[in-house]
Amino acid sequence: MNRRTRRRIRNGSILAFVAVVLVLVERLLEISHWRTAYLTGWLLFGMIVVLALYNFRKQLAIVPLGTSAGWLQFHIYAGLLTGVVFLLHVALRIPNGTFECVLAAAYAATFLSGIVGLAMSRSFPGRLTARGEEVLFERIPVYLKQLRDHVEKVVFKCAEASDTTAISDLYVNDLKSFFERPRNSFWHLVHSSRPRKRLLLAIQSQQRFLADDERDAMETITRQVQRKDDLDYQYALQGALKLWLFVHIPLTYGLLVLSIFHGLAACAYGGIS
Amino acid sequence: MNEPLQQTGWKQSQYERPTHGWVCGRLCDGTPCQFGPDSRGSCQVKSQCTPEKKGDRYVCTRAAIEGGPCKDGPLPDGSCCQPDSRCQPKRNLFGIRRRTSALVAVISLAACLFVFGGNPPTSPMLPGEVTFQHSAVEHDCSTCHVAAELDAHKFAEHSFNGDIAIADSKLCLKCHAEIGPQPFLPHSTEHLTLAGQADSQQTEGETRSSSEHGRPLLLTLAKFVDDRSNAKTDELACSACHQEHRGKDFDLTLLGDLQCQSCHADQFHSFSDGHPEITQFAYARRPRIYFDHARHLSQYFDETEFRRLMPDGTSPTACLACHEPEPSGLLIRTRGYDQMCSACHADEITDRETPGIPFLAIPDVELPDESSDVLAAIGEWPAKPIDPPIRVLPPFMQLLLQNDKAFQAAASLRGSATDETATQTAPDYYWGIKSLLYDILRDGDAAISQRIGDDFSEAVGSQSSMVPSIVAVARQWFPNLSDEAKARQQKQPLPELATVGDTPSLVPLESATGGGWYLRDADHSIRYRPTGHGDPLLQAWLDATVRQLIQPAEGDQQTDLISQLVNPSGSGLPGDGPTAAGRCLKCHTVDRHDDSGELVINWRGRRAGDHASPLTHFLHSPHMQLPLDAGCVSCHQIDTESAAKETYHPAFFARDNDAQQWLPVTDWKSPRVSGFEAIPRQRCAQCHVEGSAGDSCLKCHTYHALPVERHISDFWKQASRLSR
Repeated sequence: MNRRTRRRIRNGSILAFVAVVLVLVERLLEISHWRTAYLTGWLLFGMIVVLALYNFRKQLAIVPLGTSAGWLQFHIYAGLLTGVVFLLHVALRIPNGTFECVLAAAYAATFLSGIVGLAMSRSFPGRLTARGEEVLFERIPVYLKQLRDHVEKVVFKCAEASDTTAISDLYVNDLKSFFERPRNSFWHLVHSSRPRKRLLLAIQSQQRFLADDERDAMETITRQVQRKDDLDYQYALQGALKLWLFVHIPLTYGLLVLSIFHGLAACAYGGIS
Repeated sequence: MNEPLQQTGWKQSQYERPTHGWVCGRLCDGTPCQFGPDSRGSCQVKSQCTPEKKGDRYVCTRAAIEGGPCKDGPLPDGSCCQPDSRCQPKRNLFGIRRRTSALVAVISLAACLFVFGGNPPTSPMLPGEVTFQHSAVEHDCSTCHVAAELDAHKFAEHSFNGDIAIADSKLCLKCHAEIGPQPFLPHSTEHLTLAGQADSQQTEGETRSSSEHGRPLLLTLAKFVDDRSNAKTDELACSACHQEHRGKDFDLTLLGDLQCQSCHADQFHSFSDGHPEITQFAYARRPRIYFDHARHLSQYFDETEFRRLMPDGTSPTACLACHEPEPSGLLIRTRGYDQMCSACHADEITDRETPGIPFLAIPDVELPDESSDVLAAIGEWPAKPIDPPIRVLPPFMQLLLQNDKAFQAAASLRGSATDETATQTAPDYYWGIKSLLYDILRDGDAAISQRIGDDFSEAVGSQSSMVPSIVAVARQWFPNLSDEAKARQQKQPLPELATVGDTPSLVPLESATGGGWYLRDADHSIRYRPTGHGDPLLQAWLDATVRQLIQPAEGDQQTDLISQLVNPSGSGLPGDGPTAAGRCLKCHTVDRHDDSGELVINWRGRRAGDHASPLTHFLHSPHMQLPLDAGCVSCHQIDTESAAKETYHPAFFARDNDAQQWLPVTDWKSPRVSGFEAIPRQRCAQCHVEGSAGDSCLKCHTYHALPVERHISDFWKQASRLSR
């Protein structure tokens, strides 16, 4: 059993224990005529605030507030615990007021986006490593241009040297758009190589029309196509790892604002007793 | 080109700053500059310089880091020759995310201010539909919430006011006034009142369980979380239990059984496991109308006995012969005197076989020495009656003579003083009686009122008057009373008229066969027979009498009066007489109020407040529809052991000190006598289990001590809702 597995078992056990204790305490307080919705509401709000602090923690690297990895672990398990607290807060009911429905939907979206992000952050890095060369996301456009220039250089060279237009036609018809920008992100996310195979098939189909010297060029182009495809794979997965935060973090801020007003209204209209 | 795309050498790989928020505008072309934009998003590339004039030439001043002086140098006019190659920086993903987050927060804030800032609050703020009972005020939040009328700047301050719940609850009470004067106390009732109703007192921290499995685990754990044993006087807001805004069909009265038990001493698992036995009868007091079920069912209604008592009657064979369901379905009430009791008791009430209640009597003249002077002083007096005369004046007559000092002095000497003294004072005694008759002859009811006080006079004035009877007495037995009275008042010798014993016995008047006042010539008395059940005169007299009896003393005239009227074995003849049922207070009990000591006669049966506990209710009608082989007796079994061992049950009547008369017991609380055995709880638990008829606390108990009619209404509403 490796360290990661042990850590998951340990943290998962703590999460389960805390969840059971929370449910039990809420039930006992409800028996004692406490307005548990207020307790769970304030607890949930506090947890969301603490979870939101992780974003700031990442930006305050100098301040000694513990490791980011530790914060991440806390963020994950505390985030999962908020699901339990939320269900206790709504008493397993779907809210039936407009504002409260929006608030519940915001929480659900934030929670689910977190689950999705957690799943991606645990599976995509391994896939990226297995794919081949890993590059920085911010530099992908640069490398894209390098590949594009290299291919165009080969194509132009063939066009000048040869009377046939097979390679240039192939480039114009199939490869130009491919090399313009990152492509096939969806297929890469679902780990499909269908577009890559289609392109390679198109290239292969032109082989019989090529002269010997053109075949070398085509081979070069083929290798660039594969590299481009690998680069697209990097772009798709790394992009997904960054884009899911576009859902999770803005929703968190919206959720905090809505929660504040919800709490004030609940306290003002329902009392704290 | 098979080299790796990404170079990692420090000269080939520049430092990326993804948290800056901006990237070079030429990145999308794949040719970003090496500097990148600054933190404000401005391009840091300075392709152009500010040429400096040195001598007669302009020199390029571009910094080395920016490439150093250009090859061509500035133009002759001093401007830079290099084109402006700055880019338009673009936000990277981090910057876009940051802006998106801020935008979402601002939009959320704006939306919240719109939703919450209205006065009255906007409809999106409504946290759900209200129950249909409150639908009329659903859109007027201020009906139930104090916060709805606050301005925005007070809203936040109000949110942390700890008294909000109670303040809002007071708005509930504007419509729900039936909760009572202490709506926020547990069960909306004073603690002492609750404690008095409960058989067991909850002491500090003590709870117990009759369940064979002990106290429920959750209740045990809840005690550690919040010990409710000290919550006797904690105020509870309405919202503690009643959660609104959960839809039109939500049950506002929903409450869990464990929540009910958290404040109670007796804690148990379920109705069939550990719930206290139903030891009390439904009422907190003895019945207002005395009726011994056991004696009636086992003795009076026995075929043989009944045939002897009521040869022409038919004995009741079923409970419904005397009881009928109320229209509300709550109780099984009695049918009324005329339907139930009159067949057996009517004759006894009208008292045809007995002489009736004596109110006035003319005693015989009994003197140690019947000298002519004494007799002359007495004057006219009727002859000896046929029946033995009344030696002890009726209590009512004593009441009329209580303020006649001469009479009282003479009466005290009768039988105790020397013959001479008794003889000397005899005229005062007999003239006390004759003066009474004369005053009534002259002044009528006013004379009676003046002698007996306002309470009794009110009773006299409200009903049939005895004055005509007294007029008849005077005419019959004292025909010259007026002349004699006037002479005596003038202190003159009495006219020489008929003297004692000379008045001939007149033809006896017919006894009043229809009830009311009548002269009984046989013993020279004015008597009264009840006209029937509910005789108004007797009722008024008894009410007036008991009002005086706050602290009756032994031998008190009023005590004697009431004893005469209440004695179920007396017929008006002191000390003896056949048992004469039909006296009012044989069946109508007398209660003494705890606070004032006042006595009150229960002319009617059950009243609304007689219910043992306003927190418990039982509806008969749905249970009457069950196929019970034994019918009512399935639950109501006669307690044969509680049948009166003596003539009357000790909870209702007790012998006086002389063991001569029965006196009513005025303590209405002890013991509680129903005549029925306690209903075994397991009998109810045969049906009332989870999954069947239900065993929730709210099935039989309510939290608020509301009028029983409200429980009936709520029951039928719930039944209607469940049937849909």
